[in-house]
Amino acid sequence: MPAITKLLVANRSEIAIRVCRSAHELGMRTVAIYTHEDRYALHRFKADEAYMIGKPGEPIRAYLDIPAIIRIAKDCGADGIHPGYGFLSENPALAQACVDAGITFVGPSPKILEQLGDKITAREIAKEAKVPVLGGSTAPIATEADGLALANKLGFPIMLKAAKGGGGRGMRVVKTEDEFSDLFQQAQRESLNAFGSPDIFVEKFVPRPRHIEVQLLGDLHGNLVHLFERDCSVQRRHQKVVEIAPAPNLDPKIRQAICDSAIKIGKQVGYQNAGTVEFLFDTDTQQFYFIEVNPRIQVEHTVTEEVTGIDIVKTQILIAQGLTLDDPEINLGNQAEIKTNGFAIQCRVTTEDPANNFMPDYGRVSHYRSAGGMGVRLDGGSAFSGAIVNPFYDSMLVKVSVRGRRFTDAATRMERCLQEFRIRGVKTNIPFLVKVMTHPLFVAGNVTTRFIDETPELFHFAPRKDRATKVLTYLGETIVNGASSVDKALAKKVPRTPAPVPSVDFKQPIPPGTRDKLKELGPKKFADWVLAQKSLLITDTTFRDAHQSLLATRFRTYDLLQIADVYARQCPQLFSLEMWGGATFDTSMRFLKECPWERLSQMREHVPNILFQMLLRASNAVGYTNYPDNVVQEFVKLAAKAGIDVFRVFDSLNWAPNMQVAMDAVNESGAICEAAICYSGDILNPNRPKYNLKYYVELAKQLEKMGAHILAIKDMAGLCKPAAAKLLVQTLKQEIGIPIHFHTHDTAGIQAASILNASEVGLDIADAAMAPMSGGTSQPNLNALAEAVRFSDRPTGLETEAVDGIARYWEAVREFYKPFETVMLPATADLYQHEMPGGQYTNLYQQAKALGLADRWPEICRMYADVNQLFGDIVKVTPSSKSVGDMALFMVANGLTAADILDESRELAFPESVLDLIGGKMGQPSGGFPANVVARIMRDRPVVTSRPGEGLEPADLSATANKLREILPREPNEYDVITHILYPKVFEDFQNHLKKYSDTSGLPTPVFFYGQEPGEEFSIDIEAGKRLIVKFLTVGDPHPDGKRTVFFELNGQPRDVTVVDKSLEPDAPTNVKADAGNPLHIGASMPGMVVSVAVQPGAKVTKGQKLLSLEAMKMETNIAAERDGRISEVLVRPGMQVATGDLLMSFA
Amino acid sequence: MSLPPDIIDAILRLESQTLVRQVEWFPEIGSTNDYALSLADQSDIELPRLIWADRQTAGRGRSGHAWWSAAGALTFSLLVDPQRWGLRPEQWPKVSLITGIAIAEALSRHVPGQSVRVKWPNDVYLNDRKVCGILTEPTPQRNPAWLVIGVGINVNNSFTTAPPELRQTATALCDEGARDCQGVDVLLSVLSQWEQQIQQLAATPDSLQTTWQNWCWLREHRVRITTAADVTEGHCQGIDDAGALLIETARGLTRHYAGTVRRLD
Repeated sequence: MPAITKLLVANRSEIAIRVCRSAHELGMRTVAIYTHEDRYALHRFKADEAYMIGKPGEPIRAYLDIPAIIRIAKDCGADGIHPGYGFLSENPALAQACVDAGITFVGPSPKILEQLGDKITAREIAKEAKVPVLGGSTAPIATEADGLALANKLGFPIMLKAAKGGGGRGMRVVKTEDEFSDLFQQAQRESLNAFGSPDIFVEKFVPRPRHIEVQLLGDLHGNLVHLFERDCSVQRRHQKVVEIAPAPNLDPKIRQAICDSAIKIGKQVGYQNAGTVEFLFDTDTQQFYFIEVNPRIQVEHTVTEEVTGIDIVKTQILIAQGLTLDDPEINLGNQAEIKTNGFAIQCRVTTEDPANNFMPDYGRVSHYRSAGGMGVRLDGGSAFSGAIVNPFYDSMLVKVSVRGRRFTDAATRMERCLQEFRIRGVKTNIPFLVKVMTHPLFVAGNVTTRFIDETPELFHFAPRKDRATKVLTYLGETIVNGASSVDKALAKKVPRTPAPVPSVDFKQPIPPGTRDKLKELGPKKFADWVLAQKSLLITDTTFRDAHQSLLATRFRTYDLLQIADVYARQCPQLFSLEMWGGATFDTSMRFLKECPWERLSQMREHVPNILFQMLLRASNAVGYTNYPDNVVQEFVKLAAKAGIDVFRVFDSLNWAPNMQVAMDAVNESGAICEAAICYSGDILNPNRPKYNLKYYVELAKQLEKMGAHILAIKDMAGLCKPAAAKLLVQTLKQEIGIPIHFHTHDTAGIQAASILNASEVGLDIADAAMAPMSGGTSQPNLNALAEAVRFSDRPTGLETEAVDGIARYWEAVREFYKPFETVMLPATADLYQHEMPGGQYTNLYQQAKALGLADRWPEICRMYADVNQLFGDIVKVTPSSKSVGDMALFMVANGLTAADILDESRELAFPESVLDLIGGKMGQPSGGFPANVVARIMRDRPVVTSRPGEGLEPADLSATANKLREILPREPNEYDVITHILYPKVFEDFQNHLKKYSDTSGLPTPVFFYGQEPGEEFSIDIEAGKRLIVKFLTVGDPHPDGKRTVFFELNGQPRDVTVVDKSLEPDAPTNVKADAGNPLHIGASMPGMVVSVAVQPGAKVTKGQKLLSLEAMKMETNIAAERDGRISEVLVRPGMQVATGDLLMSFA
Repeated sequence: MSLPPDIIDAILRLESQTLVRQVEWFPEIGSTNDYALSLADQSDIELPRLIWADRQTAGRGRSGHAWWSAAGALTFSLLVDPQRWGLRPEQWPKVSLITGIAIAEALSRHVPGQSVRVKWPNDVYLNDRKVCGILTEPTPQRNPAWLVIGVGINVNNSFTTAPPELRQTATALCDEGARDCQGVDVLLSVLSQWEQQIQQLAATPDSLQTTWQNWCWLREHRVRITTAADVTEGHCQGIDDAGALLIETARGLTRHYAGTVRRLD
């Protein structure tokens, strides 16, 4: 045989690379063939020359095209062809074509291939060689009766096998005689379907077999040796998964016998080149039986190479060139000198996802890092960072073969190797392989071919439901989809470094504060104590009203907790921290996905010494509608129990009777009842007589009588001018005996003066916010205020360094919330006209913007004032302010005036909130609503004039508890019940979030809202002593089903989650329709996908010229110009789908 | 040219028993579709015309492999004027679909009890392997165009000697238990069914969607559809009223007019 100078490998991927390597070592030039689909595959680039075979769209067929292969070989001067495995490696036609073309085929002769290709003929050969063959038929079963007779003779169980079969198909196990008929017919049908032949033969069935195969190498001169055996018992559905050499725990005598039998068979046919003889070893009877011969190199040849040190592929090529086995280049002349050393195991790493029924994943391998080290051999396909795993071929990335002294050493080495791999971008079967490698049965080396199929725990890949996985899922979804409705550009600018927290000496005890005083004295005496204080006491609203006004109530518990210790230790002089209620109850669950009760209890742990204050909307509790009395009572009771010391209770219409239930509940709980008068109008303005000084004094006295410990002046709109504040406080000080607490919003920019003025005449407590969160619609600047009075006779007692250090913290924290900053509208004097509360000012603007009315804002403000007058000049604060705002928008949007509203003849559908207000569901304003307005708006609807809570059915707390038992994974507690009553849907959504993502409140704010940046790492304690360090690595390419995989490192271990990418929208058909009557329009006459566009805008076309082609259901249609002209617009591009009548192009 | 007697007999049966007005038979031709398309240049030809060849040397729509044109395959093209049934151009893509249904109906009668299905858009599957391909083309030189419906059915070109990879994906009637099946018999039943289907399409175009459900090989299976531009994966939900393939994905229901579909389970 002539020497081969240029070897063509008629195969792809791993084996093509393998062959090229050995060929190179033999000094030959190598040639690879690749299909269009394989043009980026690695094997193309590993050969010296590479030629494309076939056309696009024939990924498999091309590799089977014998004439094309021969032609390429001839054209490039290849004088040898190696077929690899699979494809044409056992096809006598290729071997023969090589012979005919004078090309050396690296493999057995066509005759041997034909003989061994037919199972039945192969069995005959084995029998002639006196090798045991599994008892069975020697010819296909002619009739079912014959089959049954033979089966009985052999003894059940028996196996029915397709004569021309393979790949595990056409096989049936028949355990008893009565099953035979059905199964025989099934097997015949399947054989006919799969292999085109109904020929079945019967074989004795071995219940616990091992698959043992022997590697043969024979030269062209009649010499034949074996390289011992391999054990391929680890199979899944008759496909090999793991291969081992040599077979563990095999009796040496049996090994010898099997190998000798293989040789006998090889000699019987005069076997040439490499081949494998497969046997079934019955572990029960210790008998072995011949199965078939694979006359080619096999996937698992590597393990034999590892334990024998022999390069089988190289040997194949040398044999094909005519060298004898004893040639020094081959050195296999003496069987006795061939030995195995240690054990080797091979695993195929594929992109099959064991958690998804081994479905092959495909896409781009974004990151690939392979294992290595002693005793590790890698035979890779296209496995490198950036490789594309495409769907046309099998999903194998790399074959890993490891060597070890003992079988157990090899198994542990393989496990180590598999764990070392870092493959990102596609799923792999590595978790499954690791399970196999570590399974006790496997490690003991005692597995049969039934091992995998009968060991369900190998497949136990139920999606991990642990907290870490849930948190990663949340992170993955936030990274891929971003937080909804968050400005992405602003989100990118948010800093990622934690806000600076002033250092605190935790060894020092926490200094006593107002809460200690309250515990000591009780509410009434505590109020006396407040009166006796010389200093101006300050309430810090940064934890609640400041961010409610400025950042849509978005501050997260996480950010509040970081600074809490500092407050406790460095600001014990504060009267209270206003940190609960208002909108925070709703917002914390709805937007921040955290529990408001948890916020309270966690804050309390860090700040035991300062009073906690909440804003309670009297009968609305922390909601927007009037609740039954028992709900208000239960809520107050639980809030006090959970840690609220001061309840600021107000009614949105200043209707005292509507505050009684709440105030009584507060008093009963032992907390401080701070009843509020809502400031509206202007006591300095004689033209606003309704809300004059007398009004407020009487209201204050009424509240004192009702049991208030402190009186609050709630100036929600920042209307209380400095002179008014002085007058009001001075007068109240004379008329009531309880301390006065002033709350204002600095919209006008002069409210610090109101506080200072009021302080001069005896104001006891003022609300202020830390500097970076002050001003505008928030409270006045606490830091500046403290400095302003430092050297007066009413200092605050706060230390400059302490509050300034805290201010720096808040300044940094505010940066995290950039996307939630609201538009700051300039406040002019019209503030005193419209009287919009600070919180509503920007909200209403957003509402107007959403309705497209932003440019009519001044009109809306004027209308707001008009509505207020229409409704009888009422107090405007949540929820009454919402009704006024909704009405103003309604009127501006519909071009209505007050006169139009009162016009009986007009049918108008008023906003729901207006019906609630005017219908009395929020209570009664002083003097009631104007009767004509009520009549006009409510018509025949029921009107309530008494206390709304009176008429409401008490809520059934235990019924709610029962309902919650079904929703919650745990026993519902009283907090769950009250929360569900107040906000049923928000509470349920929040619970769903917890179920899906677990508690995400411990995530740092930028991570929670915007997701991590690549490489960003943070830690979160999900339980005491259980810290997760999460690093975000990368996001994979989108899968065709719209999902992406996000890759993390969790405490150093690789983890990934797969999430839906909401931005991947399928191409919607263009919905611009052609006007059928317009001769300039070129419309789609049928639906389809645009395949090609033949002209550009501006092109001159003639009648009949092809403009574009559409494909639908594989029918391609050309759309031609119906006239001469110039194309002005082209609206479509290849790949787009269009519907009938869509506008495709237009003429100029 | 003198025709073999059995062919003469077949032609007479076709011209008298089916909608075909004229049959042209060739022992060998490049492509029946190409020939049919070229006929559109002639102005006075009787339609529908059937171009029937024993062997094709350059058949299009063979999916690239030789078994289509091997001896025993039934390859023909039907040249029709869609105006005859009042079909507007936007309905022409559906002609491919109803051709598949017609062939599926016809083949069921030749291999009773076997699984016959249509694979969107223009294949017919027998026991999960392709047994027929269809290629529909409008005649470019006429406006409004005529339609050429090209069909290749594996009748007697057995696959038992084909490479294993091919045997996994394709089959012939003779390999699935059809005994003594003559090409002309299959042709007669196909044409008869086709006439019924095209009339139904013209009369009640909405019924196609439902009829298709019963024959669809992809429905309820996980599928992957690939075009030059992208790949979509999901659960097939049959076709919509325009004949587009519906796939339920994580993003919602998507519709596809074109692409190569693969069944994943």
